[in-house]
Amino acid sequence: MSQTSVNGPECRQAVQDMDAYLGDSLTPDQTRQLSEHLGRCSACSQELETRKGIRERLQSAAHSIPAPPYLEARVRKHIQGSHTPSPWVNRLIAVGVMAVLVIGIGVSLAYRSGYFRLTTASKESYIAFASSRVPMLMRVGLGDHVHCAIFRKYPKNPPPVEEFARLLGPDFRGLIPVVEQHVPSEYRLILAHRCQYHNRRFVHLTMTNGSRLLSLVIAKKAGGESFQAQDLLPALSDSGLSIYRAGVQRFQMAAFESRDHLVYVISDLPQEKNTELMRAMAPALSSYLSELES
Amino acid sequence: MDLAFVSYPPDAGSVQLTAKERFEAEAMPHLQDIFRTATRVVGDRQRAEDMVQEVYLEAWKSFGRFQPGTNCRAWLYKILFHCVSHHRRKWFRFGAPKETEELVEANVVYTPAVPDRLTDEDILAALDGIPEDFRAVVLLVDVEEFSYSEAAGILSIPSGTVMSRLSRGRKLLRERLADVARSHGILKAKQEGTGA
Repeated sequence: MSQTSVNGPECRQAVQDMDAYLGDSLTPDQTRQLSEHLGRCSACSQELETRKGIRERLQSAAHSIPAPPYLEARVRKHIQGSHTPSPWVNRLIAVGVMAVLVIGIGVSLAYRSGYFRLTTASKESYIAFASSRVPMLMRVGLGDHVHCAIFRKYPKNPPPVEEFARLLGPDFRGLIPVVEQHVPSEYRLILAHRCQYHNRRFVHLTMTNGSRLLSLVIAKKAGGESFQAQDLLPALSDSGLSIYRAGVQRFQMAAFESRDHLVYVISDLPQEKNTELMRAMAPALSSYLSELES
Repeated sequence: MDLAFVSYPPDAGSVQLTAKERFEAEAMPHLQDIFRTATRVVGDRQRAEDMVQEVYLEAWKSFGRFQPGTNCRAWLYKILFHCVSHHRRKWFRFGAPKETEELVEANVVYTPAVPDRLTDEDILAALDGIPEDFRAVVLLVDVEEFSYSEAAGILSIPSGTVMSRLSRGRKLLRERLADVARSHGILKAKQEGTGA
């Protein structure tokens, strides 16, 4: 076996054609030309035989390694239980995915454009609409409840009570145990802060049991405001306190007043339950505020 | 009905086959081929076994899209190389260096023929030593006897690229075989030849 070097143009062409020849990819003319050259040139003829030989040895070697006998069974077991979707199911899935994408993109664009977002104006419009159907002073508490507890997004995982105590400040942090004592145990505090809404200062605590929302709203009185002065009739008088109530849409309100504050319990509970809750909390709240106001 | 005359798979023209029966009849017979190629491509029997399982699971999942009557073997190979490509960065043992695909044999200097004394292991070791892109084409065309256009479809590359890689791959294989022969003392130094 010796190295052979051929440099003629015919040989170069022949060598270049050999791969295509082995792959049956030469045109009839090219095949004829190569065959004629091979008939004349022993070096190229030997080269072609060598290439064929390598190919045969390679095939033989590659085929000498069988798949392990267990592999077929393993493959069958592997695919067993998985299902093959039929073409129409595939198309249905594709159409579904496309529809979800299109709707998702559309909703996203609409949201970005403000279509699905409540603007400040629309929130105020809603509060004004709901408030218009309750007595004037009841609107104060309702507006703050809707503004802070309904429209405001409170965190899914509320901060610890210590943080709420900090937000309420030294004057009102004592409300937390009062509320916790009277509100059913399944309710948890999700919001507690001092806020200002429509130029009035509020203290606001909101609780939820996962489905119901309940707020204690304490508003600073302004300019001699009084439920009594507005000729509202109390729903009940208990422990020397007159408790007023009102309801609009899903909101139920129960309220009483101290010297300087209007105190509301507003919730989406049934009216009786909402009133009962206020009735239970009112003495402690009244006592707390009286001490604060003195 | 004499059961001795019942053939399997049943004639698709006369019997409505279930998907599993069709898969069994059309895809499963190629498992040996897929394993053989997977072993050479991934370079490890255990990985090749895993790869074969993955190929067949993928094939089964998408069997609804397979057009009966088309080349199931080529379809399975396409899935195989898709899976290989998917896993390449994860665990390929080689860096898949890109070699030039130029087919230039300016000086026709033949490398020596393959000595008969080389074993199958020697030949496979030489094959495993050539870069993956070239090895894949050599495997598909020379070992599995796919046409250029079928290999191009399986690897998602142009036919021209198949041809150039095949030529380069064959040449590299011969050089590796010469190296192996030399290392065994079968080929003497003065007989060594190198490609262009």
